[in-house]
Amino acid sequence: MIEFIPGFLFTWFAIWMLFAFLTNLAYPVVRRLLRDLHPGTASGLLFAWITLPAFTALLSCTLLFAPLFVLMSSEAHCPGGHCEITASGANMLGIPALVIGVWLLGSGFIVFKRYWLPAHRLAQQLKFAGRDEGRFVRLPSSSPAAFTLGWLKPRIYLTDGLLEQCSEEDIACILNHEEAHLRRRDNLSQLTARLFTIVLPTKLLERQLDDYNLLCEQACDLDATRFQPADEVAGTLLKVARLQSASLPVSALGFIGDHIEQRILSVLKLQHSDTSRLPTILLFTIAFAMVLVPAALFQWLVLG
Amino acid sequence: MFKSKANSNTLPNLGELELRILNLLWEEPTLTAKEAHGRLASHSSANTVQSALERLYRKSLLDRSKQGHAFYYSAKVQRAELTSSLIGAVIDQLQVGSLEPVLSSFVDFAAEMDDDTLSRLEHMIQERRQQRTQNHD
Repeated sequence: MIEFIPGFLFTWFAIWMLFAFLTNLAYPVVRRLLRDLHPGTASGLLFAWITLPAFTALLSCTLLFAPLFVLMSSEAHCPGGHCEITASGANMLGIPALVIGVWLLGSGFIVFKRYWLPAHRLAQQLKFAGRDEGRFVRLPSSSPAAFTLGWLKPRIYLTDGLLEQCSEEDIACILNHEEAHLRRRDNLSQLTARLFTIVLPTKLLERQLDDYNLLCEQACDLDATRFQPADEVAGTLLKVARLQSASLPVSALGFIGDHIEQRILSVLKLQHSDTSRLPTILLFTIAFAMVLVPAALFQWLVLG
Repeated sequence: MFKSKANSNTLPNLGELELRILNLLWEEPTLTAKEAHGRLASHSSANTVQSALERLYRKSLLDRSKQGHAFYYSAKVQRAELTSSLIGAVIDQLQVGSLEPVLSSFVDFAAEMDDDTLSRLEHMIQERRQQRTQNHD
């Protein structure tokens, strides 16, 4: 049965790539459906959409190989557990499967090295340089900044500059927003989403990842409106944006924070639709089709 | 979140053990590697502590002088100086967006916010605030 592992892996990678390409092509339609939903629901559905190709490819591949596994484990068909004739074709895929496997592992390692390690090191240094104030770590800097850092045990960091220039209400709003990130584990989920996109070039999937980031931010903004009026939350967003914009050095020109307008409009929107029935049904239907279609095609084309 | 690549090479490169050693040397002016290992009470071996001291020396964060067979290490930078430099480097990177992939900022640093858009948003927030106040009254 071990002879089928390279073939299985190769097929899984190939189907995963194909599904990732197809879901990326279909994304503009999905994007329209997500637009009117509550950002909390929409971010969950988009996360499912991003991770869908890998899981459905695995299930689909298992379905394709299931009859072979059954045959191989059958004593009548394969006495002694060896079946060289059937497995020879699968063995030919060993090298391509190995190449793709190494490439995927390498891509995963790059994501780890580029994102996990810097954040881990940064958290250590900020813990050392900052002062723990309970709900957040206070950083001695005159530049106004607030952020959540860390994958497994994230912490909130606020600078002296921000604390001095914002009112108590503003700080409460910022903390409510950042605490929503902690509860939702947004940093970790965004890294996970990143990992699931390694089968295609980053540029192709940048839009999905950027939208996922925006939806997470909007979900946290709306979470903050549970504790404070929407206009106060929107006002704080605008105030911090202005403070940060004013503090920027010339060297920073060119980096444009284009989410702020969409976030303020989302906070001020009177009602967000919580009915996620249609996109959820659509997502399950697509997932079901993705699992079954390759096996059905194989039956039709190869086995007649 | 992942707008640009994390520029990890420009982050101040100090590990946890190195930071703990610096903390120790700000409390006790000079220590040998053996003394530092004893004071740290960590799972790190004496060799690991020795290597960390060596790295800190090469990064110009420590001074050392040889007395007998042993090197005596002392901090070359003050705590406030290093803290300020660490935070400064982090804020610089936050402002140019190179840290965006590894953290969630409350608001992205925005360099080119259009004044008209800002005014329009401000106006919308004011209107909403007035509505709320009127409803409250």
